[in-house]
Amino acid sequence: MAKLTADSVVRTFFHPAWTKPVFSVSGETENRPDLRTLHLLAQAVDRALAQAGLSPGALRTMHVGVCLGTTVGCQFCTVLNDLRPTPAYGRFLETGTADPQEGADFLSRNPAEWIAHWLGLPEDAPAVCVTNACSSGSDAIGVASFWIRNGCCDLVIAGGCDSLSAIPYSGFSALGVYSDDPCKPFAEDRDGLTLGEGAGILILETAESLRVRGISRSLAVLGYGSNCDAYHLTAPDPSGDGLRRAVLSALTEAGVSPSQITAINPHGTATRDNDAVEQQVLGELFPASRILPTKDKTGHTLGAAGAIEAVFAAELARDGGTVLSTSLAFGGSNAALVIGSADLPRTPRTGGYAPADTPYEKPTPGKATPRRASGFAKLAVEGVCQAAQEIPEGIARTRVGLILATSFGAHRETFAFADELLEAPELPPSPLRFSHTVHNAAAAYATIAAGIHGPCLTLCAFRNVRERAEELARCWIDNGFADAVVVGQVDEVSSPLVCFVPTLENVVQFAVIARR
Amino acid sequence: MNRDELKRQLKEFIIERLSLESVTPESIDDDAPLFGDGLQLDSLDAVEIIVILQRKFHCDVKQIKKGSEIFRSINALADFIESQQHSEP
Repeated sequence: MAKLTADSVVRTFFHPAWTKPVFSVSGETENRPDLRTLHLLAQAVDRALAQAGLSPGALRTMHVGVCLGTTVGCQFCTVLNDLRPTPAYGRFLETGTADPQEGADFLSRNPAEWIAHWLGLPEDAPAVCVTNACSSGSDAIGVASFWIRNGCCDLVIAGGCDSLSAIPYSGFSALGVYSDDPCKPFAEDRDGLTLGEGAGILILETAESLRVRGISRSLAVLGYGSNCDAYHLTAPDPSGDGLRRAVLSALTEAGVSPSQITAINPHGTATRDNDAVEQQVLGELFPASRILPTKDKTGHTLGAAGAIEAVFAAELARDGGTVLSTSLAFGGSNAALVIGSADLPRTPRTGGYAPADTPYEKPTPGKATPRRASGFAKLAVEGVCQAAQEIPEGIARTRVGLILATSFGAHRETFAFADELLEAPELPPSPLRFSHTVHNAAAAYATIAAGIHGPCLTLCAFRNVRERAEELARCWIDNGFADAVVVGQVDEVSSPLVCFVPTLENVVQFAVIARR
Repeated sequence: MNRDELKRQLKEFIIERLSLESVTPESIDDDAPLFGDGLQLDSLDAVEIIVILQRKFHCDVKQIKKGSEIFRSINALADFIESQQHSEP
């Protein structure tokens, strides 16, 4: 078999704009700019299920979960379409009120919950989005691998989705990191990222479920690592420590050594700082591996990127390779996945994942909140710093994690940013405000303020999101992924949301789950 | 607009957009460095200041490079804004 290259993989497996549905896709999302993310997603899910030999009927006899990465849980396209407000948001701006049906629609557009509903899964099926900005897709597959491991699901539909939107386009342009030409990952003359759109889906299934269905498994997610920089809202830590820890965690879980990694699909956004850190860390750990960036061909698909690239990694692993895929994000999130043959000889893991470093130090109570933090982020900082007082002594700071659950996330910042774009479309909007539109900006401020350097996720769903976050935190502890996890929910009331969801109240509730 | 008025406006926009809550326009020294020791701003604040120059002072910022001299102080920013206003037809 001919060796697959990044080029041939992208040509075969990436379908820009997904204009032609292959299988049966419901007509509801067709030609609806405000539902474009869901439209891209539905087509990818449809293809993935068909390839896995699964029908919606078969899914109803199994315990199925949905875990998807996306940037802002579909809020971008529910607010703006190009540079015009969507009909629902336009009516709100004009009248200060929203139609109850529009409120119900808004609440039904979390991509994971929407897919669960679309497939007719039961109400209690786990369905959450990971909103870790540009590492969301990788992290969603990592969460799915925990759901498979802890027995809560037979099968998980895992991946990510994002459509093009004026919001990230204007935001990245204002930050001065946008290239209108196709981006040039790792090139000396790279000058920024170029956006794309799409969705990527992997079907993760337990060995038992595959046996019952009479299917032999060839590939597996062998390892996942997540680690946060706790350094800066938008800039990566130049030392690369967070990325290095995420990669080493994924390798440790996979039970493979760096020399067994045959190829790497890096994040490679072609921004100066991101590529420099990635090049340094990957070059040092994997001097002999092929590094195959793909964003020059797909564009940066944000919350979908890690998932689309995990699909590429899986295809690259089909000829017997063991492939690493890395993601870095706003908020200092780093994620790594190792994908390879399910039969690969592996060294069983002993001890913890990330290498231990300096002991965790609790934040000083009542310390001033970070200067630039938005209202939503300030709520998170206060809640996390208070809960962090309960973290047991003697735990390394890289083994303290954070899982922040939210139903509405940083919607106030998204609305404010959209209003600024609408006010003067010809002028650049505030890059600071843009960097606060990602839900995980709150988690970033919280990790910096509380000194948390371990795995860090922001989960977004309208139903049971705090319960899902707590289950995942317990699973992290049981599996040695972290020794203590601050876990809880933050939600903030704002005027557009009060119109959509009149019963909403501020929620700030955090606790610590720790190894006994 | 005279130079003092321009500098006062510039400081007010910077304080508001960069959430410098404990700072007043009077407390910012016109020659003090904005980055590092002075106001302790960083690169994310720098791109925000570039947008303030565009949105509030209608400057053309294409020529501004990372680490540019114009970010040295309030006086340096005011020089840049004035040079742009003088070059207008």
